[in-house]
Amino acid sequence: MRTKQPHRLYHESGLAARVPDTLPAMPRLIVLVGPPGCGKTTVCSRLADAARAAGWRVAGILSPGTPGDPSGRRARLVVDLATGAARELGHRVSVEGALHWALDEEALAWGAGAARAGADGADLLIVDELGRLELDEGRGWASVVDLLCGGTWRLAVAAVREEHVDALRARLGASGSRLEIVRVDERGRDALPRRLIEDAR
Amino acid sequence: MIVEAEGFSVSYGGRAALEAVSLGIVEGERILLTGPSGCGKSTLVRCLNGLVPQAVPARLDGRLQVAGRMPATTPVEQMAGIVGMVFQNPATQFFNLTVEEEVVAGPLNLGLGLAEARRRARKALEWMGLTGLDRRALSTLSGGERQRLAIASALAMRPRLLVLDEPTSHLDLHASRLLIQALHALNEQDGLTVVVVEHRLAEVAHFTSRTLVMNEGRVAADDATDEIFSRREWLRSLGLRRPAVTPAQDWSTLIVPDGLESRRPVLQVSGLAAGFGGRRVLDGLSLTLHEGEFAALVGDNGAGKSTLARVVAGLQRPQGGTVRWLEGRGRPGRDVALLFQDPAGQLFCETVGEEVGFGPENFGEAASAARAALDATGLARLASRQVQRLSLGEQQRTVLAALLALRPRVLVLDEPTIGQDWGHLQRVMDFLVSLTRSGTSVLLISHDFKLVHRYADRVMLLRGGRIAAEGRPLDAVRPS
Repeated sequence: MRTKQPHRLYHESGLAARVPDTLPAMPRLIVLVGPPGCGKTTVCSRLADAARAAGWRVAGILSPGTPGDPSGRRARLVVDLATGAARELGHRVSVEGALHWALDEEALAWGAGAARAGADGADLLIVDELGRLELDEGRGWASVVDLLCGGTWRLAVAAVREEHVDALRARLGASGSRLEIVRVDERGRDALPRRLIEDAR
Repeated sequence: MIVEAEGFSVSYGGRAALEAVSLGIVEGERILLTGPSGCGKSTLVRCLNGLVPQAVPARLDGRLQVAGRMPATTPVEQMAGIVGMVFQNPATQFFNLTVEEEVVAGPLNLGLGLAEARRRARKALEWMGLTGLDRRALSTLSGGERQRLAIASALAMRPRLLVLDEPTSHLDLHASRLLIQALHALNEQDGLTVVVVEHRLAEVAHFTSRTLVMNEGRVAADDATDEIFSRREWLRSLGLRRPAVTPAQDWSTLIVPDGLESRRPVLQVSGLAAGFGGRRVLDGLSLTLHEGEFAALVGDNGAGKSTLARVVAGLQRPQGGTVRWLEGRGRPGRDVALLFQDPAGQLFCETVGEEVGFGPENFGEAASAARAALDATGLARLASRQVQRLSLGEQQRTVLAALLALRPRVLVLDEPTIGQDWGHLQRVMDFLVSLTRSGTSVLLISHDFKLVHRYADRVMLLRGGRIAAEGRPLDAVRPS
């Protein structure tokens, strides 16, 4: 059993620890986990920025929320990390008192296409974020999940909420065993992007 | 290249704001970005620091890089250290209580120590001529002082690219010169790249070496400033004014004493004292407004022009003296209306049409008044547009239309030029002139000497808390 290196992150014991022995040539697949608002998207955005600064080619999709326009309408975007192009992914709607995101199918399809188009030859692939739509219903960015299984990049990062981790692992099949869970919280998140890059070098 | 755009397009909810913009800006350039109201200038500069789409959702296509980064995906706080931005309405950028806190906040957010942050803040305040105001509460600053403070706050972060959206709109002559001097020095010493977004070409013509003209979301011309300015007919056809041949002078040399005023007085202000907090800005001020006159009030930043406007409009109680209406009651909104510097605070309806129709409907008046006001302000085609999706210039015209729809007897306009190209401004001013013929009195507050000269038949200079000079503008040419 390997000893935990001090600069490494919060691995789940067992599965992640076996990675170097069984699949040495495969790129790392990090899953950023945490509740809404913990900073998953921010970490992804800083990670992309730090990777570009290190000369890496970055691909994938980011889905940040916007603080809301003056009329109070809050929207979610999907941004292609390879080109900077963006679409409005959806906006908040109130259904019987509960707030939901009404997502735009066309923008979802655009995001999946952007991730696939940019992935070839990238050093870093980021998928922010996967949820019930993809993992339970096989819709939305489900086709992007397959991308995570293999590629020539050095590092792949996906963001999911805690409750979807098992579904993601199952969906990835054999590749699911490579998955390293990193919990995003207020204490660790600022240092996280640089560490992930250094670890993958 | 500090800015590189290639086939860069932006649209909001299906409406195109930028279409296939391609341009490159080399580090250290001094650029004027201009174009008619609503041409996409503001959208372009908001993309440079990632505000669009990160804060304002939008659809983006093509490529945009700033200092080697992609503003759409780079964290906003990182872009803030590279691109400094000062908006048309500086008040929207403040979030502290005092001047010093405001200027220190930026450097502190960049992770600098307090001593270094303070050093930078002091220097930035000095550049903007604000030394000594450190402890002042933001609420006591004039429009011009706020604008200079916003620029100082941006400079304190030592950005590589500084974008100023209409930086001289609230500035008097002295402050405008100070700003241009400071920008020159920063450009030459530190290689600061400066992009100035302006409608008033004269103010920044000598400072910039290259001009980008935008029209309908595209770059319509990109050339040396001199070259662009020589295309006068073309600039005029876009509603952009050509630069003045003569530089601005001090107001006191531009006002000629007038003879006796024969028109009927509407409003008499005598011995007025007013201010806010413990500060008295106006002291012993007297003036008379006459029926059907187009009067202008000019004066330096902080002279008390906006305070006087609020008192005349019945929105602020004087500390002393009287405001006397010779007939009628001077009901705020009905007899006297005030267009604020910041139009956003005066908008409350969903669409332009509702906003302009609200007053007449509320007072049970004919809808034709609203339609006439929409036509006069060139807003008829935007009647169903959401007010939050308008450009600043369009918002200001919407408020003006809403005020005009109630046909006030006295109309006070506090710096109505912000966000307006010359074409729209001229149209609105011509309409105001036609109103004065039917007896409405207009009091225009502006730093824009061209506008004042062209339209005002009487100019009052506010200095030292009272009217220091009064008369007709020198060599005034009024449209017949």
